[in-house]
Amino acid sequence: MKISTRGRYGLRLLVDIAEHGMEGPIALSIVAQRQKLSEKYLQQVALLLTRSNFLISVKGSGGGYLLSRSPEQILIYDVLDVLEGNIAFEEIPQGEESAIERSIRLHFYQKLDQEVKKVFEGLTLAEVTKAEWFTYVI
Amino acid sequence: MIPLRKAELVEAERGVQGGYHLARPDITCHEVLCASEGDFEPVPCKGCERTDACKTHQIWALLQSAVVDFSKQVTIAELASHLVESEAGGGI
Repeated sequence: MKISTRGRYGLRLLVDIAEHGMEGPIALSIVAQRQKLSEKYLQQVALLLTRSNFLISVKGSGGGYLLSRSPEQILIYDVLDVLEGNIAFEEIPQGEESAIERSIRLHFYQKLDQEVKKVFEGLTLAEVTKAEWFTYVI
Repeated sequence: MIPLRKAELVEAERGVQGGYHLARPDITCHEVLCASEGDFEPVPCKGCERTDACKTHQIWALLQSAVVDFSKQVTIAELASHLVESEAGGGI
């Protein structure tokens, strides 16, 4: 697992919309400016986040994107899982698996995934957006 | 094998009965990943100038420490011990 550009951009897009969403739908051009990200790439990520039901697209003039539900109801782990395709380190074996591969998978990668899950358990977009969480982690 | 040798995790023995053995019994998965990946950085913030202002950076920092901390806890010897158990019909 290595977090991709899509994962990074997608999360920044959601945090930006969570911070400014009370103002109504947010155009990607605004997010691109604020976050200094490519608008073209944001379009692709926004499409994925809309399809996976984190964002709602509002058409027309004054259109843009809104969160599909409140930031308290959006789990960071779920977002990363969608953006990265699958956030797990463990790879389900295709075909025959040697004893060594099996030991590493079960006793390292599988447990590593559990650790990552534990760290993110219950962490919502709302908490990440809040300044308190930001300073607390530092 | 070359990166593992450079990182002094394995030692080579020459000769007819030669081969490799672990340099120490307490080698961790983290050491192996660092050696074989060159630089084990599962998260992308290194070198980013926006780190101070970026709220998402905190998430990546959290993920990074979870992965690094855990991979420092698991040793190669431990993984090998499960292997022995499995061959004996127990374990895994």
